[in-house]
Amino acid sequence: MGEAAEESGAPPVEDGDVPAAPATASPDEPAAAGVDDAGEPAQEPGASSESAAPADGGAPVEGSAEGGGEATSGPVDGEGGDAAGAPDGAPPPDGEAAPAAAEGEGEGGDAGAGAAEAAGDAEGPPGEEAAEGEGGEAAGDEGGEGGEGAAEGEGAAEEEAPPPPPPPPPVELEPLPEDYVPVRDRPPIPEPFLRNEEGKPVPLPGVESLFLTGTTVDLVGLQGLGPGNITRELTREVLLGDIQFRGAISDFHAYKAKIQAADYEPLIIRFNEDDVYGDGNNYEIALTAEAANVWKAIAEETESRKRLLELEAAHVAAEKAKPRSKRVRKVKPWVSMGSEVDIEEASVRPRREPIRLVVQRKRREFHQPGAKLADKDAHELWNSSQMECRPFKDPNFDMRRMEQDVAVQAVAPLRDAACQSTGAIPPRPAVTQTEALDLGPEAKAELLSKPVAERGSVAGFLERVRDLAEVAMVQNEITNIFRDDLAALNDEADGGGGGSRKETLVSEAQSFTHLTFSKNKVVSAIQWLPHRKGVVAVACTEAQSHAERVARMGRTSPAHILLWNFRDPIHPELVLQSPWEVFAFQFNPLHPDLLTGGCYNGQVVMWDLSSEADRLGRRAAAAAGGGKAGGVTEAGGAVSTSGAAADRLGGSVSAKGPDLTPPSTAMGTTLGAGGLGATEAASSSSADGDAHIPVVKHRFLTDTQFSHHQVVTDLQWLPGVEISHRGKVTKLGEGSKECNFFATIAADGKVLFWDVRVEKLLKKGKKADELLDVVWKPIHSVHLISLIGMDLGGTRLAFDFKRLDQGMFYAGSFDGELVYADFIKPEGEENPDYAKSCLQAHVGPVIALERSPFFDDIVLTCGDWQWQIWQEGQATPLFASGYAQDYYTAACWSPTRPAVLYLADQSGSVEVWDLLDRSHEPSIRVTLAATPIMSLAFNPMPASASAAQQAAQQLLAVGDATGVLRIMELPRNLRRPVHNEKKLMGAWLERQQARLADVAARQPARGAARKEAEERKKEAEAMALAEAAAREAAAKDAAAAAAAGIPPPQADRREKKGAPPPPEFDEKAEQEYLKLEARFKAQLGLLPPEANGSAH
Amino acid sequence: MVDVAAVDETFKRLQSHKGVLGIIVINADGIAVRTTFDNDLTVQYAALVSHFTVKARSAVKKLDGENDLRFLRIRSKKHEIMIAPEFEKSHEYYLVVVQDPSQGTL
Repeated sequence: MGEAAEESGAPPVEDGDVPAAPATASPDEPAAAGVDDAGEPAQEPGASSESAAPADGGAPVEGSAEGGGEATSGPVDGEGGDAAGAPDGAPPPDGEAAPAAAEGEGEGGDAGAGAAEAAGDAEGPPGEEAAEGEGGEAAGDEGGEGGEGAAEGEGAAEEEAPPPPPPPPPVELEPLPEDYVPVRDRPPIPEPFLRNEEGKPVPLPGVESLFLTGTTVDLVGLQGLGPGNITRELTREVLLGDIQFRGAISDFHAYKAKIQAADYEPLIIRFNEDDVYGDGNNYEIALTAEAANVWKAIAEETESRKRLLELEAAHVAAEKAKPRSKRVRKVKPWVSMGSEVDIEEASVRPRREPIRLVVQRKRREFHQPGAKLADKDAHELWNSSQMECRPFKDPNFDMRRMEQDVAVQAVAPLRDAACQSTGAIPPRPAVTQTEALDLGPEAKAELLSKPVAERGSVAGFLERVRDLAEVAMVQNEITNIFRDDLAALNDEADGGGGGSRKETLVSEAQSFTHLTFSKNKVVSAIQWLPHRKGVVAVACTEAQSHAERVARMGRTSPAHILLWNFRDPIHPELVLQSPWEVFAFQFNPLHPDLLTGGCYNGQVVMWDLSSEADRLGRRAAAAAGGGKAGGVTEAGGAVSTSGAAADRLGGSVSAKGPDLTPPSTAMGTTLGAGGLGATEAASSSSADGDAHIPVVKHRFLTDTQFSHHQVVTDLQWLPGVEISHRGKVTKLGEGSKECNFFATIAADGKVLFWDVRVEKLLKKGKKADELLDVVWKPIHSVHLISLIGMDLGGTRLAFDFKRLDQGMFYAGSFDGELVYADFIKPEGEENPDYAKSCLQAHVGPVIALERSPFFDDIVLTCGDWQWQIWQEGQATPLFASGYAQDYYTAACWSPTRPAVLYLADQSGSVEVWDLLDRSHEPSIRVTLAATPIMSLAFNPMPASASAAQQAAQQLLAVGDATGVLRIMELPRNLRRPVHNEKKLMGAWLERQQARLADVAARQPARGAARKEAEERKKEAEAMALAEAAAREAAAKDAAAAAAAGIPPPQADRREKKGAPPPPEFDEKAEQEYLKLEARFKAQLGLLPPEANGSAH
Repeated sequence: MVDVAAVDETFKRLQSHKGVLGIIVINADGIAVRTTFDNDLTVQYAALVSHFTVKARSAVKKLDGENDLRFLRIRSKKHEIMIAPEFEKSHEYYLVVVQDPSQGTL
């Protein structure tokens, strides 16, 4: 079996190039069992010299292969024999080169031997340990078959544990030898028994396993054997004596012969505590010297290793006690991880022989002139690319300097002074203080009094430089030195009308139309929502003629006001529903949730958006991206304003009587009431995708009986005033936030004033439900009479909002009249004539009546083909435009430029009149649509906005006759006022006034002159007539005379027609004339020759 | 004494112009020889203007060695400072006139 093991150990493992160690290698000869790829010879302790030695130590390889895995090579050797072959227990040779495999194998051997300390030896990583342990067990089990296993197993996992270098000899301890092999790296202590084929332990040859009873133990003196002390030497005599004394019952009786034959003395008995052989015996006895020696060697080796371990531990402890810097660092040997292959691959090696090249030149060509050199002018080379060194100017030699001798006194004369330093941080009291140089008064006086001619005279100096200074000062005086020329230039560029195309182009920014609500309807009124940016309200009416309307009169035709938000060009943000078509509407300028509109049938409708504004605000905020500051504030503003409006409405209710339902309830019931007085959001199912558009129904409708009887054409809110039933106007305080009244004008000649606080009309004690019963009546009514004594067909209203309390307003009519009236009812008159003046301004209806936003007393009127500018109190227009090609449909002032007007006409064009530029034709004319434009509106700007801000964002909303709302962006030159434009416009107006005055002043003279001229003209005409008549008569006479014989048919005719010649006719002249005529006729060949002849 | 009168006369004449805030004559050392400003302002003007003028002159001379500074006008937001240094002849004094033509005569 031992041989088998050795043989199995011998075959080299995997690598064919590793020389196989002979199985019978001598102990001195290290068996090169394997060479790892790092080139380190893995040397193994030599195999046992005795084949009898148990050689199953190779068996663990099997186990290692199982546990360790991918070991490439490793020594597989019967080092089990090592112990046997090294009876002196010396450490294996070449300890430093011991492969790691030795460890695994050693462990296996230990385990196989069942040595308890094997586990203690295994100090490797846990995984390794486990693998090793496993291997050891396997080895122990398999015994002799380890040979094959070794061949397959190819060595232990040697790479797992590279041989650690020996610890250096500590100074104070017993030094370890230079080539010291740590105990744990040494081959295991051989087992004190052999193993059979199954790997089961069997006693060594010459050893007998026996069972000693306690009596025997006591008799022969074996007491006290146990772990750590397992052998005892007994003389042969003792044993034989025992046999002799006890006879057959002696435990040694069976071995009497062998004991007697034992070749050594004393005999060794070993305690077999674990019953390793499994035969129930507890002791074994070596009966040959050989076996005894094995045991002794094992015991000694165990002992020496124990000592060495202690020494090692002491060394380790000493090493640990040293400071870190003094510790010996373990230098790990290089281990190949495959990098040498990479280096090999990366290195470049010549693949072929280097090419050899021989360049030769004939000897005789040496030192021959190769290039031809010639002179060249320098200037030819300048600027040429061949020149390498270009000439340049060296500034170092430019300046010629004379020698200078300058001395500088760098230190000011010292002076002692005390001062309080300002508290700088950190305080620096030692800051150098300087004092300005000064001359004493005497020195100054001396300088000043030096005569002019003398050197250093102040007077002479002043004389010389005075003129220079004066020229400069005069220049400064005659021009404004602080004028910013560039800014002025900018202004001129703006106002000059020049600039790029973009700056002068009126461009369309956006357009809105809705298939259901506005398509093919007339946009009859536009208003930008006050307090909200980018929202326009548009009233749409059917494009019907008057006759068509009359035909379907009396039937309600629901109409809508659309709120367009710039964010959504497809769907209106809100739709306000009205029972009748709305021709004029306006938002309350101070409470923008309130909106009133005038209907076709004369009624006035009011909407309250306060419930909607909340929702719209939220929607706007959501659309703005949920958190955009502007959106949020806008929403917040809307909410707060709506809240304010609600409070106000509710407040007026509760103010009426404390016993009323609370405001919120009142609002709620109003909401629920439906029909007339309810605000209700209903989804419109009329168009696809419009379902989400909220529709708001009107809240109040005026009483038909007390309303207008014809179409309401204009509606104006009157902020800041309080109007009583008798037409008394009280002005509210400055900055008042009240706006409760509005005025409407209609074609029935009435201007009605309404109070929006409808709840106020509720009788005390009435429930809010009875809002429906409220009769909303106008507070005040003004009746206007037209020029021909009929009701004035009012079209437009224009109040002077700054002087509302004076009650003066303008109204335009369908017949082109311009009425200047006072709506304050005079005291004591029952049917007063409110109109102060009524003038025929236009031929057609007045379609625009607007006060200039810059001049309070200037009013723009527009009708038919002409527009006019009126000054308050004047009976004639200040200025009247020429007649345009197309009928005007809308007009308004520019909100930022005092001299600019916008007019829209029937052909779909917008005209821009810049009165400072030219007044006989529009400055710009833009065709926006193919259909007539019906209304114009500018976006409002908060009063707080500066002029520049206002000018920065100016949009013009244009509504046409097909329901399209266009938002036009105006060019910069139309937005920004020219420098001093208001002043210039004022001057222009003054010139017009002067012209009017001049015309008026010359009126009598001109009238007289005209009369005179007319008279003269009449006289001249009469004279001319008479003359002509006379001439005719004479001609007739002559003809009659000439054609006496054969009267020509002409003469006949003339004679019939002609009057009888006057008797006092001059014969002579007649003769002359006739002659002439006759000759003339003859020349023309009109007369027959006979007549001709007879004439002569 | 005659020449003191001449100096006074020149000062009066210069001051008669519109908006003249003050006149200083500074010598080459930066010492105000005669002034119509109060003392603090005079010292400030004298120190700063003479430095500035020397700098300006050096700029002009470095651009062209034959050139020289004749007159210097500093237009500020509030007024204009006119400096007549007379480098060409004696280089003894600077005349400094501060004028705000938008103001009336002093």
